[in-house]
Amino acid sequence: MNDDQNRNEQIPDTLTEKLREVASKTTILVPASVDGAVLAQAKAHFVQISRERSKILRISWLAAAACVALLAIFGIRHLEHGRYERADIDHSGHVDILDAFALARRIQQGSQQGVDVNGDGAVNKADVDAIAAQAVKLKRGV
Amino acid sequence: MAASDRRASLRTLAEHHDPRSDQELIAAANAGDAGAFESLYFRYRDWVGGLAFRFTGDRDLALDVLQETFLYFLKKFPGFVLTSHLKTFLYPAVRNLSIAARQKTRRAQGDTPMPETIEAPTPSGVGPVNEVDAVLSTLGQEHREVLLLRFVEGLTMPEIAEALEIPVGTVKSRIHNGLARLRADERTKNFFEK
Amino acid sequence: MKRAWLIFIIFCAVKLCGQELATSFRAVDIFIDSGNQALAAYQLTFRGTNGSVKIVGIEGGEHSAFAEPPYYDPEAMQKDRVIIAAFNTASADQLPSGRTRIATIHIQMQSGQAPAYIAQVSAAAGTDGKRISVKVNLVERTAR
Repeated sequence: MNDDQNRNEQIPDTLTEKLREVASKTTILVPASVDGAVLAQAKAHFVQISRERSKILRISWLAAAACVALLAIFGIRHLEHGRYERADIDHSGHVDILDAFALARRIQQGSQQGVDVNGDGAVNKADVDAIAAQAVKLKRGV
Repeated sequence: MAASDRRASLRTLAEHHDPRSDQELIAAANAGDAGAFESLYFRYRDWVGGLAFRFTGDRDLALDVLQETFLYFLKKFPGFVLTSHLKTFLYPAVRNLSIAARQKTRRAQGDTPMPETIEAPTPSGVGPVNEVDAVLSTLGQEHREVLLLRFVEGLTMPEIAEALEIPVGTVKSRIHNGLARLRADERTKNFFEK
Repeated sequence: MKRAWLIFIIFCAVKLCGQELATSFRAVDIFIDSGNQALAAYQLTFRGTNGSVKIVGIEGGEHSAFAEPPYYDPEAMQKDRVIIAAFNTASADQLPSGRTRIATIHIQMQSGQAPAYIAQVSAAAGTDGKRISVKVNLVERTAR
């Protein structure tokens, strides 16, 4: 429904005022006691929500502590995985001695194209050794 | 109503003017801010009360419906998602609770339960307030509601359709028919003349 | 009396020999045959298959290109599996071709069991880094 259709039926302001009077004839004054009753219920409801959230928070702290421990383990694995992927020089899908060999040949040929696998800011034999070490690591052995 | 109650009600309303939008208040209430819900209550209290009175025709019933409506709204937190105007959410709640309240009253009085309908008895002691009201009273309440929601509450046709749970085409038709009646009636045709 | 001493000496000799046989060492030579292509890089896995093998040492090969010990994971020592790998960026004429011993793995055997092990090549390449097809075989020597 676009705005043009919404504005299809327009009425003069004077008629709008008359319609407001029609609406206001059913206005009732709400006593403060009714306000109090509704707001008291609201307060109780939000207090209950707050209590439940606190309970969840306490449980969350315990869960968080467990997660930190797990992250310490898996985080290291993830770092290793990251290095693993960067070290796949020939993009074969896995890291083996051929990746170390490829990088060694590039370095020997004087090429600057390479991957700083060990993060020391340089691409050199240390990176070649790092890739080779990764290739023969028993956990990721081919 | 006692004058003191009137003054208390007005004072409370004034004290609770909150510049935040409905969306902001709802977000705050979802986050656990009871004050935000309080602001929403005062913002829509009189509208809900008036609507409930239109549907029930009885002030005491209307106040009961008002409380039940806001209790129903309260239980939506946390997690309430406002997808359009808040009135489109509150309107069917008020209507349905009003119908239920009237049925409960009639059963208590031993009357035959009336079918669910939006039509409400004319509030006692309240006649037409002006010529427009007099003409609209010849139309069904559904036409009056649509005109009030459109030109007084400012809801769009899709919002009215959602609130009344009727097709948009029906909304357009009722608006058209209502205005046509006003244009045709001697008492109100002058509003449309320049 | 003389017979008793003789029996005692023979008994001790047998006992000593038995102790030596309970834990023995072997050297396993690993040969790769690359045919007429120069071998520039290789990677293979060596592992025991009957639970009686422990890897205790690794040496380089016979050709100068692979004389240095290959890359391997130190964690493999005292275990029954190891991955070894090596490469050389020298030109083809300075690399081995045909059958060549690329490494020797020293193993410790347990309780007189016959050793059982295999080797599987996972990568081999020529001077251009491209993979080549090779054969591998193992020859056992007795450690002195």
